[in-house]
Amino acid sequence: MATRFWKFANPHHFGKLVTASTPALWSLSFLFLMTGLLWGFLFTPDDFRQGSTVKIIFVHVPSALMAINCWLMMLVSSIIWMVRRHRISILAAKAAAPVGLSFTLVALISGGLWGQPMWGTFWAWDPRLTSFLILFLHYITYQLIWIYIADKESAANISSLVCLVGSVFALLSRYAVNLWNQGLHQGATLSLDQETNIHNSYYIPLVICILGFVLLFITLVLVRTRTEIIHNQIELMEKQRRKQNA
Amino acid sequence: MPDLGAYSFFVLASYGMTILVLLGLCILTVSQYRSAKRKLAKFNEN
Repeated sequence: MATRFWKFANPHHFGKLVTASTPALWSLSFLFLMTGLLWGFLFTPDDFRQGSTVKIIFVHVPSALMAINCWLMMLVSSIIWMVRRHRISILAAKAAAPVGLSFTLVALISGGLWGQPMWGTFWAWDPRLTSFLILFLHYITYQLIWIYIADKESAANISSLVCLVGSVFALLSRYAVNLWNQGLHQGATLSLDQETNIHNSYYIPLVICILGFVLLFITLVLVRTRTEIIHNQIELMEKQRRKQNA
Repeated sequence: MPDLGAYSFFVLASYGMTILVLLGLCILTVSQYRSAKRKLAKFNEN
């Protein structure tokens, strides 16, 4: 199993995997997202307390979930880079960052749009919201490191360290509602250790939406990593040519 | 179209913003991938 996994650390095999899998992944992501979002928007009933704003759950929860999990994926890739110095792992982390940043942005804005009618405010310095904002700032820092540090090796090392520090806030965002009972944010919507979850009429379209977001994340990260590998290849070839010409 | 009542702006804005952000990200990702592939092909030609 491990040998199979490491086989894809070879850029050639990885390229083949991306070419073969992306058409199906794009289609599946589109199918799940359309089904989940349309089902959630058109066919779910209004909540007795929250009215139609409950429909925001279908964009807010999956995006928040993926924003945190994307950072954890970047953490694993950064650790692989720090331990094994494997270039594809750090390129995968770099490729995932804009995707995670977008998901975090969606979660923050949709949360504000849900908060305004329910809490009477777009923003509150609540533990979950604050840790999420810090995670968002970490995503921006991570992006800026890759943009402004010209030396790729240094950018990879510094961004890996930022990833390690940011993972504390990613985990805090995940568990803030369980750790602190204060604040406006409600408890976890979905939980494996809870006997009662949300009603089935919301649960099924929500799971479909989450699957859609997961599939879209995998597709985007695969394609973006392949793009980074191509850029890396071009850079190496340019260096080789310059050496030959010198 | 469901009756969203007094909250229609908040629901529609959250869905619209999500679709816009995700669509923008997909378009950007595909265009960057295609331009990288073109650049590599050009480089190999020379």
